[in-house]
Order: sequence, then C-alpha cells, then structure tokens
Amino acid sequence: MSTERTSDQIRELLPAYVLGALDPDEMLAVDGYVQNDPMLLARVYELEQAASQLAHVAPSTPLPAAARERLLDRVQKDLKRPSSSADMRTTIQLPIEELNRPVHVGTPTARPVPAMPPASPPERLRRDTPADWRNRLQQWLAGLSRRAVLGATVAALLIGIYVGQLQIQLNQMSRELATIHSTVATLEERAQENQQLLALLADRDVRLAGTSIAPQGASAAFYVQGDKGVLVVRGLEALPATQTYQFWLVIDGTPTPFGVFQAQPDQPTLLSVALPQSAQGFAIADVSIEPAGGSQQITKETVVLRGSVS
Amino acid sequence: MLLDMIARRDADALTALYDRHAQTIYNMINRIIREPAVAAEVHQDTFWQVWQKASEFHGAGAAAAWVYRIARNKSLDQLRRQKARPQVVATTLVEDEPGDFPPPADTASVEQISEQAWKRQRVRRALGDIPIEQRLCLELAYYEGMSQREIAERVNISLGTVKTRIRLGLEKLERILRADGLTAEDAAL
Repeated sequence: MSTERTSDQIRELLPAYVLGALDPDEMLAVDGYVQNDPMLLARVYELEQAASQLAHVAPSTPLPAAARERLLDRVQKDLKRPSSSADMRTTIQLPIEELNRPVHVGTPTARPVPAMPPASPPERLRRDTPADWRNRLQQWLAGLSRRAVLGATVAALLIGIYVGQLQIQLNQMSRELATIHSTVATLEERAQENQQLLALLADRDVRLAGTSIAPQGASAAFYVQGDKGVLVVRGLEALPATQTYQFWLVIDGTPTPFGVFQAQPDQPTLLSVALPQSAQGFAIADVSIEPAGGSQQITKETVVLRGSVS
Repeated sequence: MLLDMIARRDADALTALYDRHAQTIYNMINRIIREPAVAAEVHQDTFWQVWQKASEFHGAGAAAAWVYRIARNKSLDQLRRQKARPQVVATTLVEDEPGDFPPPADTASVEQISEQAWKRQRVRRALGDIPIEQRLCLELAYYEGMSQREIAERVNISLGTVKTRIRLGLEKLERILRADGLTAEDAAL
C-alpha cells in the first residue's frame, strides 16, 4: 500500500485492523497512520473495546481445576525470588508482540544503554620529587575539601529528592486508599443490584428464610433458569470440618439432595446445580446441616433455611 | 487501577483480576483453540504475562481490552501452530443460549457471576440484531483469526463483500452495545 490514503479511508479499515483481519502490508500501513493520528488511535480504542465484548459470548466451559492456585503459586514464587521479573523488566526489553498486536498500546520506549566510561589511560611512570609530593598533597587536600562540599551538596539533594518521592508516594497511596474505600462502597451497592439482576434473568426464584436454629439474618435465594439453578446463601456460620451444609429440593414430598457447600459468614456463598426435568416441579427448598460429605436422607432437626414455591 | 497495582507486584490485585475475568477469558481461549488442555496452558500464560508486563500498559485504551487482547493473540498464535484443525467453522456461530448461566468458578462471587451473565446477555442481544452474514464474518475474524481474504475464500464471497460486512458488523455491534450501556468504565479493571 504505497499510495497515500485519506483519514476517512483509514477509518473504514479500522474495524478490520482491530480484528487483525487485514493483510500484513495493510496492517503495517494502517498502523503507521494510527500511531501518528490521535483521533484514529482513539477510534481504534473504541472499536477494540466493542470487539473485546465478543469474548463474553464464547460457550461456557468450566475453568481447569486448580488453575487459580497454580497461577498464584507461581506468583508467590516469583515474589520470593531476590531479583524478580518486575525488577528485571525495568532494564530488559521483553518481547511485546502479544501485547501490542494489532494496536501498539503501551509499547515501552527502548531504554538507552548507558555508555561505559572510557578506560583510564595508563599512568605515566616517573620519579617523584618532595616538591611534587607537597604539591600533590596540597592539591589532594584542596580537592578533598571541594569533594566534601560537593558530596554534602549531592547528598542533600538526593535526600531532598528521596523525601520528595516519599511524599509523592504517600500522597498517591492516600488517594488510592480513598479510591479503594469508594470502590468498596460502589461494589457493595452493585452486589445488591447484581443480585436483583440475577433475579430478573431467572425464570423463577425461591426465597429461603432462616429457621429457629439459623443465625440471625441468614437467608438464601434459589434462582432457576431452565435446567440450571444457582443458590445464593448469606449469613450462615462456618461449620467444623466434620459437618457440611446440604441443599435439598422437596420433589413429590421427598427431599432430594442437590449438593453440599461450606459457608463463609462474611460473604455470599454460591452453589450451582443442574435441575433435571424431574426436579422442575419441586415445592420446597431446604438447607440442612449434615455430616461431612452429605447425607442421602435429610436431617429435619438441622434444617437451617427453608423456602416454598409460591 | 488493578493493572497499576499489579505492576507494583500486588498479588492480591492479580487475584482480583483473575477472579473477575478468568472465566470469560477461558471461554474465549477455549472457543478459539478447542483443545481444553492446550487452552488451559494458554490461559495460564495469559495471566502470567499480565503479571509480568502490567507495567507496560500505559493507560491508553481500555485495560480489560488490553488483557483480552493478550489472551486472544496468544490463542490465535496457538491456533496457527495447530495447522491440522478440521475446517468446520464456516457456518458455525456462537450458539444462542439466552440466559445461560456460565458455570461458576469455585471462587466466583455472586457479583461476578451475575456480571458475567449480564454482559453475556447484552452481547447476545447485540449480536442478535446484526445481520447473520455480518456476524459470521466478525466471528471468523475474532475467533478464528482469519484475515478478510481468508474469510472470502472460506465463505466463497468476494473480498469487497467481506470488507463491507466486517466494517458494518463491528460498527453496528459497537453502536448497539453503547446504546445498551457499554461505557469506557465497562472495560476498566
């Protein structure tokens, strides 16, 4: 693509550019325009945001078991290394192609390698006289004094810079803390909104209330959509390892087990269940405390949450 | 914000990012690669790369889009290495499963699951409003990493038609999503 293109022509190519669907020479040509035109670059970011939403409709597949732990173990090992990759990345240029195709976002500027000082020339060999020694001593003392003053000045400057940086970091951390507090408040609001949304998305839902043996405020909601359901539990206490919570649906008068879970008192607990056709007509949903591993028969005395289909 | 914290070696921030995006990213990787064992490795590599290179994100564009792009590019690289894939994609569209609950990860919170469900619904609605031929071209480019020329050959239509469909399709997807509430904050981390 050797001919000049207008901005409008380039804009027409941006959707394919964002999707990486242009031929290589076109990709390079468009990239050249984009990197030199803030308006085009902004448009690329907008289109890229829309394109990335396509990831949300890929068919759902359960995450690999222990993937999270594996990653976090690796991260912890990395953190314990004396010279971790984060330190390295300030001085080493790593390949960035995955990060920046097709758009060169965040491309680090190559850091110039500081030039090594030239090697000192070999000292001239000659015999020294006492006068030479005196002169040299005076020069050395004068130089020492200058160096001391210079050193003190540099030290003061460095300390000033260091204190300034600390102050900047402190201010930045204070701002971040404030932002985190604000984010937490927003997330708490969103948690409520999201649960309402979950209720809207579901075909039906059943509210479970705490029985007389449940902690105060314990509750749950069971959302059903087609052949799937999600139980959201709040306010149950953590159980010892010898016990578990078990979810039951009462179908034709018979409590049928639908999974066990452990509760965390300070956050919602989630249980996803598959609902066969035979379970669609359940009338009651219960949560009971059972021995670890769950039971085949519900222990009626330990039912902590119960809800009926209205 | 999360990427800034990750760049400063905050493992909790990486965990938060993982919990929020791991499922969607894995779905996408698996959709592209279609070999779960390989997809699991690419998924792991993606988050490892985020951990190592978060400092290279300079705040331009959407942070989430940056993370998704790493995953997609890695997946497409892997796909290109798997030369012997059966070519069954010409008429394959992401299936419509309105309201499908994504399988929750053990660590997913109610908020994360409902957020994923809501985003999924929103994009499905948007795709449903796009002509199917445009949608097919978009999905071949996005999930298969095919160029416009390759799509033209695969679908047996002219290159010009593919170009038009890709352009109109993505622009329409963007318009619908924005009308449905997609904002820059959606793509923030």
